[in-house]
Amino acid sequence: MKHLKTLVMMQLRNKIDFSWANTKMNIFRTFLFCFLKFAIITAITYVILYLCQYIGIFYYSESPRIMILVVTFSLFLSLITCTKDLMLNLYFAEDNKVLITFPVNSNVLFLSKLIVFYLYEIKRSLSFLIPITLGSVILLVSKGCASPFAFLWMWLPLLMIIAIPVLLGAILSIPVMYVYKFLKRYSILQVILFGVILSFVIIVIIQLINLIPEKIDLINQWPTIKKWLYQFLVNIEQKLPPMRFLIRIIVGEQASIDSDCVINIMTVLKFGLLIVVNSSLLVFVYLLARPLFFSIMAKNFETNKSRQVTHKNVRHSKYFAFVNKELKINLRTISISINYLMVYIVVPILILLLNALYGAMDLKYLGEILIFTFNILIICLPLLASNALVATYYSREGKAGYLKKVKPIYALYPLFTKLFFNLVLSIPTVFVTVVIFGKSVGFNALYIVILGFAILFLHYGHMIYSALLDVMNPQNEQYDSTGVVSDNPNENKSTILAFILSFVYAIIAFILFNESGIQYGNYLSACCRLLLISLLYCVSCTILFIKKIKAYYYEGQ
Amino acid sequence: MKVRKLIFERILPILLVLVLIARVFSYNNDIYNYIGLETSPYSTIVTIITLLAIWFQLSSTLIVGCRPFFDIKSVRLITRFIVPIVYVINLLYLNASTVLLTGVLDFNPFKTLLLIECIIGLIVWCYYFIIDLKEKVNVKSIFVMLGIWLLLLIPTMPTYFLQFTFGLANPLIKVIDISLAHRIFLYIGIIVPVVMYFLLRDKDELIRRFVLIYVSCGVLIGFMIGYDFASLKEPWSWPIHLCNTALFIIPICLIFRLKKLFYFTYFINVLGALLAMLMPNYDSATNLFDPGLVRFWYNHWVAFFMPLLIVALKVFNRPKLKEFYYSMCGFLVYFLFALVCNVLFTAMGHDVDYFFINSDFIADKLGKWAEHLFEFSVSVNVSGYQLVFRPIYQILFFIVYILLGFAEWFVYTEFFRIADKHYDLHVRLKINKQLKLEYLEKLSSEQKEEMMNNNNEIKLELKHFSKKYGTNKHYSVKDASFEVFGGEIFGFLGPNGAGKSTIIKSIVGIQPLSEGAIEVCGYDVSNEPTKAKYNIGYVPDHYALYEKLTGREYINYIADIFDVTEEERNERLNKYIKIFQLEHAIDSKIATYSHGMKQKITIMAALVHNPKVWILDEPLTGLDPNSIFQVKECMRIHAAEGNIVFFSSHLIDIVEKLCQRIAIIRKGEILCVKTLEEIESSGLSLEEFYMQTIESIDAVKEEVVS
Repeated sequence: MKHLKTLVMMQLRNKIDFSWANTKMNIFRTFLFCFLKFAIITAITYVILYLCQYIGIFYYSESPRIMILVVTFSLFLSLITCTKDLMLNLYFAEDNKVLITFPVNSNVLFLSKLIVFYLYEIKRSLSFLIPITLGSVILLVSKGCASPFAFLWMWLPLLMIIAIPVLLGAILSIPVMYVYKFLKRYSILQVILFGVILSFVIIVIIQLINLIPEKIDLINQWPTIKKWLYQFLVNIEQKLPPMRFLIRIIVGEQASIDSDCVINIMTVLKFGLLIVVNSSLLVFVYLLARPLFFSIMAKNFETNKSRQVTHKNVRHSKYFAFVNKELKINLRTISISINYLMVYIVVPILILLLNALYGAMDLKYLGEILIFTFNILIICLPLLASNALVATYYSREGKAGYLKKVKPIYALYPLFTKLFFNLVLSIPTVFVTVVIFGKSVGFNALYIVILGFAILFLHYGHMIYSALLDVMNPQNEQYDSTGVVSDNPNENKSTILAFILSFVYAIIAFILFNESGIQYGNYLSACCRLLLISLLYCVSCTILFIKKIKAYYYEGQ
Repeated sequence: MKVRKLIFERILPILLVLVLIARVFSYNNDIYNYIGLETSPYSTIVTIITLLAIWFQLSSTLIVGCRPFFDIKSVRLITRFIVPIVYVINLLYLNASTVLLTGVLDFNPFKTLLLIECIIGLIVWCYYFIIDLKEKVNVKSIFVMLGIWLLLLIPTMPTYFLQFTFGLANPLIKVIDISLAHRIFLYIGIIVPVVMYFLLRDKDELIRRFVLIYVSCGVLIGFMIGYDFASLKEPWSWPIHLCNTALFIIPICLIFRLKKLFYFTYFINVLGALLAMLMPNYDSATNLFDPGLVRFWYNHWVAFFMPLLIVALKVFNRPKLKEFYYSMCGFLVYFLFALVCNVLFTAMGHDVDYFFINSDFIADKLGKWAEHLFEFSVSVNVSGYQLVFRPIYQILFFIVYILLGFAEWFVYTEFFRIADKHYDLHVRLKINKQLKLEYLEKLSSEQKEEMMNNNNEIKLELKHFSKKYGTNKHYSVKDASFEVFGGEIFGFLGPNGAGKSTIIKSIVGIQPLSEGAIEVCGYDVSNEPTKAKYNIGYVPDHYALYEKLTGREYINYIADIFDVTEEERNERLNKYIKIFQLEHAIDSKIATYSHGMKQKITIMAALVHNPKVWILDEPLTGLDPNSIFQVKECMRIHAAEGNIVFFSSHLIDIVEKLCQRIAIIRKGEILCVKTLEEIESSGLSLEEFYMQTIESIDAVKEEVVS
């Protein structure tokens, strides 16, 4: 037990950044921000659900159905991330090399990994599953559809529910790991598989576009849409009895659709059943995964020898050497290549789908402006969020990253080269996307070009800022020791900023388009002002990057 | 002597400012309504000159008033060259300015005070003109002075000036409801302090204080022009709106350094001013050039940004939580005072709305729910006066303001955290630039030429090198000095954590130096890092490679960076592939290599450009015996070619066999630098000598402690 605690604490410290806990003020500030974040998500959930019932999409008493939908979605996402992360953490983590040598019972080692992951999953749930559930429960209780006791009770089942994707992920990580190893061995298969998946996604989206009716009249078709939504929720509930079971454990039993949710003996029994299910899963994981854990973990340390083809030494210019190196590393790192493809292909498709939907609607002036705004938001969100990967670029190099400082070249050059492919590849993506958007809403070529540059500069600014986050707070040691940093603070900051920037930029776009349309009868002024804002942002980020590199880069370790 | 100083440097300047304030009281209250270029009894040119002269005099008098207290070059120059011209023009146009600003030509308080102001101003000018006569002035300083003077004119612009000169602006331009013009005014409230911050952050405290006092006093005096002072007899007309109070408090706090009062402004007025700027309380038909509008914005800009700027420029310290609580108590007092005034004066039949808690001005903007709260009222009859309170609305108003105050505290904390980071960045860049300049200045022309020709001696030199990490007080390496010459294999010994890697990392450029200098082949690693690095080959203590590349690709990448020709790299690479027996693996990905193979690749990459100084940090760890032998051979051959081999190791036997000289380091101090011959002649093996050196230092230290 003592060993288990030590192992858990050790791995937890490695996994979660506790650097903020150095002063009382920082601890206070961090807790305050966490609490605020939790409260904001809860409040947003509450407001959305409240608005949905306000405009008549559903009644309060139907909230559990919405919860089924949301919790299912959340658990599904958790299951995917847990499976992937558990596979990496259980079988491919660099720290296994050290852990395997410890004089502890092998069961303890395995359990410690699972516990660490479970605790980490609870932390992750604080940003999504828990506040969303709390928001729903607040709505139910405030409308008298559930007992206030649910506020106290809900935490127990939630802790059990969070364990489900962890345990299932541990089981699924075994076959996934074999597939992963197989694909890693034959990299051409990865490309083919990815191509197939991508083609499938594109086909599905095109099918979806074809399904969109020629005319959408939300107001006249509202009763039909409402009925469809209601039927959809009912179907979800009927087809997912296990999820209905889970939600009932949280909010309580309902005698009929109109009656209140009550936490009674049945709820407690169901909770007991959930504990039994989780315990069974744990035993299953223990029996199935634990024996494989050591054998597979040990195998991964063996080097794979492949037949080599002799190459010639080729000389490049000093400056091209960095670009050449980045090209090779990017192409050979499947996660980076997939990220490029995902973002740079999916964004234009998304815009195509969005505008096909909008195109079918009969719009007034404000509706038109809203469509411009949503287009900009949908372009910016994935594009900027993809820069989270940029916030890990330098750290991913591990200790090799520090050696840039030894080279007889000004550090800015290799640092900027690391961004070269992102900078170049985003140009066609942004312009293709803006052309799709522009053509759909009837913008002329000038507007499209200006807007294209505006979004491109915003993307560049955020990309450079994300890179700066990584330079200023390098995680090289963590990448070097574990090969993966699952709670990289730079990645998190970059993602949060991407969301804030996208929303702020969309709001600014809304105001400017609206103002420009009213004042001048066209959108040239709005496009120009958006370009100016993006340019200012990009230039200021670049200057900050250059200045900080000059001042701090050689200080950092 | 002392009496003269007292008169000219204290009494007269203060008197001058007092006369200016008195003059401001003597303006006609109705000036906004009757004067414009078209209605002026004088020609356009005379009217404009007169109005400009009066504006400039406001600024000049403030500058002359500040002159004895702020001995700043620009203030001296403006006093010397501009002030007399302004006073003389005002004397010449005394009648015109009297007619324009009071409406009558007769001798009146305005004319008298203006005359006195000009005379005192000229007397003070004469005094300082004589004092400053010896100061040499060049053309550049004249232009700088003019620029500064033009900037100093901005805060003192009289509120009536725009309407007088240009008439009414386009009525379509509305500075309300977040229109474009309104947004521009809001942006100004942010851009101006940012610009002021960047302009002033590097200046002396004296200059910063001068500018802040000047701006706050200038705006305050501008605010007073046209104020109906007769209304001061009526308490219900006093300017005790929150933002009005800021105008008085800020200059008083700055001049008399009243910290506690200042923090009230810092927390309360700023928030009030921000809200007021977002929801201006003038009529929507108010013209852009209307003096009331100009006065509103000057007032609120200053109330909004001056407290922040004062703290950002470190004229007052950042407040602690305690001061925040005090300011909140101050706010409670102000709130109650405003509430009592509102209720009492309203009961007396006057239209009063201090802090906007007596009318539905704010409630109206918030929506119907706020209007409902406002409508709930309680009446109390006291001595025949019907006192009407709106308890729910007013209590909520107070609570919301306090909560916003807390939010403000966190916004300030974040704002100053960002500002501190930027300031730190700025200071570092400045220091780096300064050090570089000093280094270049120190270099003699001979040294520069030598460096240009690159025919330097092969030498590695540490000159009083010290290294501290981050904000540590403790030195990781302290005052290390030694030289290594071409052809030498130099061993670097010491226990773990002694500072070996710190020295090596500083030589190769991974980390900067805290003190002293390091030269590689004559190039200073701090000031000419690129040239120094061209001469270095480095093998780190732990291989650090790009695992997705093949061994050949990696070495070619390094060779590209060091500009190695194709012939040279072919020759060297083939040689080292054979030596290290990597023929079977050189074209495989590094990820598939064993630890030893990766170490071999690192060594090959370090040698591919045939460096003059080859630095190895514990290079033999993990290598098989054959490879260890080959590395040792490489080191011997490299040194034999006249190069330096500098390596750290814990393997004393190998150091003994390989090196000509060694250095022993412990706890960041170089204990000795000796040749192997010297050690042998003392009858000790290197191992014995090493142990003796380390232990003897401990013994000496214990003795000192005991």
